[in-house]
Amino acid sequence: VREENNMGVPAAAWALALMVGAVGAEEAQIASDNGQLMWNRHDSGDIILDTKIRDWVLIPIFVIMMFFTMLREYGGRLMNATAKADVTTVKQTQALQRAQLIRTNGGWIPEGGWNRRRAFYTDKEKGVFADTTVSKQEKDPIAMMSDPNMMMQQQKSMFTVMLPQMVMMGVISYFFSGFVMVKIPFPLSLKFKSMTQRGIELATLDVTFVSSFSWYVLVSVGISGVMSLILGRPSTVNDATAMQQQMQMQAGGQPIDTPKLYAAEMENLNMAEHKWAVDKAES
Amino acid sequence: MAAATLRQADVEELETKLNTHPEDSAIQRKLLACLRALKTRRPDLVARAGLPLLAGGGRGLGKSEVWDVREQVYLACLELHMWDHAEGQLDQLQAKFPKSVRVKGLQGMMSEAKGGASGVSKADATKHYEAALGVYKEVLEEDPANAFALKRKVCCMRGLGSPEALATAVGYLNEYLELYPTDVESWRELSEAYLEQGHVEAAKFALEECLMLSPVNYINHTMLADTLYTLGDHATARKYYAQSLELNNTPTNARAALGMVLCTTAINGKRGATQEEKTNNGALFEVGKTALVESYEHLPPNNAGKEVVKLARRWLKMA
Repeated sequence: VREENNMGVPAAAWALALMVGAVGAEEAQIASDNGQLMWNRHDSGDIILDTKIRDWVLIPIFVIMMFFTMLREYGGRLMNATAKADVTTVKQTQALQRAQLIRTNGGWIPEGGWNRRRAFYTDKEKGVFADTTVSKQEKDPIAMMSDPNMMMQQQKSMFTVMLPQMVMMGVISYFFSGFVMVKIPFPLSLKFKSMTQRGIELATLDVTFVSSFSWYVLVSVGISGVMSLILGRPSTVNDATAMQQQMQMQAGGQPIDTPKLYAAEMENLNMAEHKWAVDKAES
Repeated sequence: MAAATLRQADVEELETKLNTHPEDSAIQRKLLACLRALKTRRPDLVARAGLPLLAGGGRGLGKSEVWDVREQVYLACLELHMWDHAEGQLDQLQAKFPKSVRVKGLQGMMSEAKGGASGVSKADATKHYEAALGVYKEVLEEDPANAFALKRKVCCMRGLGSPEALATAVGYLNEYLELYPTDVESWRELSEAYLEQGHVEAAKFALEECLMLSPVNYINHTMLADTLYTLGDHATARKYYAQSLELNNTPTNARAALGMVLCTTAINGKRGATQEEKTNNGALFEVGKTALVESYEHLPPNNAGKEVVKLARRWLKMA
């Protein structure tokens, strides 16, 4: 509980009353009456928000975002061609998977077979994992820039993701700023205040009351779950994954480091022992 | 979603409904959707429900569903050797999706089906299969990791039937398994192919792979044990039969019981076993025998069944 000097208290109460007055007349009375109490008690507060906020801000933002996401989903599907798997990558990932399988389920096959498989993968000269010709999948940034496919991908993701996002952000900040929108049901630390209460200049307002901008952010992050319920299957395009892809591309891409994975798997296989599960079957 | 609760019983129910109302498009649609979801192979039903539905203009079918239905009906017509109907559907699919790899694969299946049809001469069959192989190779040029085309190549070779073709089939199957080594069914197919060729060791390798991929399936244990027994490794075979019987102790697992009886008999005949091993072996023989007798007693109680039980008992007493 923070101690404030006496000057802050009436100022806070007055600001609170002003703010709520913009929302509804009756509620303002109650809130200003409670203003003093609220400040002194520092509890979760009794601000009652106008139902008009719910009808004209909360639900519309949600509906508009769903609409946009659905557009993106179907638009994305139209624009993206089917992915064609690269044979070498597939082989390498499958080799790793099979090696893991040998480690986990190897106990079911007789020792001879298990040793043969292990040697197939870990033999110093001929083993699959000892293959030195396997290279890291380097993603040369310059080559990436000039590669037309990559450019198209970037442009597509830009158009389908960043553009609507920026437009929405601008719209919401412009039209729906300056008042409290929702109360988050879980407690937050005070550090979040600057983020969640953009546009509401009240130092004393409880952190759980947030602006419409943070509602927008919350919805955009959580909409994939709702979309999967509506569409009946997981959505392929949503903000979180698209942003991740963007970041990956910008970071020069994390190349799938196959030699390292191979080396790790080889270590694991060399250390593994064959525990024959069927040995006790006869008892 | 509705798909999760569909069962074989639903198919039968819909079939009876179709029998009473053969022209009802709603029933036809539901039956087709049910068969698609369950991946049941009933070309007779698909043709009976699908052809009138499509001929009637596909009433009630959604824009994207109609193409799924066309593909389904096309495949059923291929199985029933209704070439004209099949070609009609293929033309529609090709017109709508001219660059599709999937439709190209379907085109290859037409040639394959014609090659496998009854009453086709050997030369004609070879021609058809060659045509199919050509199509699949084109598909693989576009999409080298296309599982469908890789598997169909194997089937083409199997369809040809000659020992050289079988060897080529095995080669293709190995290629496929290099890319997709977690496909249990394909490993099983490989083991069968090897057994046809007589390479029991190689079949054993393939079955070991099957076993690693699904160790709780009692059939895999039995099959591996069969190969081990054939190769003469009775001790290990006996262990796997025991494991199989442990996984499935019901009368349906007669094969493992028989295997156990044979194994224990073979081990009994060997020299140089300690007394403890002999008693152990004897105990296992009894286990196999009781399981086997039980499974024979579960045969249908007609005269033939009774004869079999009598024979079995006599043989077991002698073994």
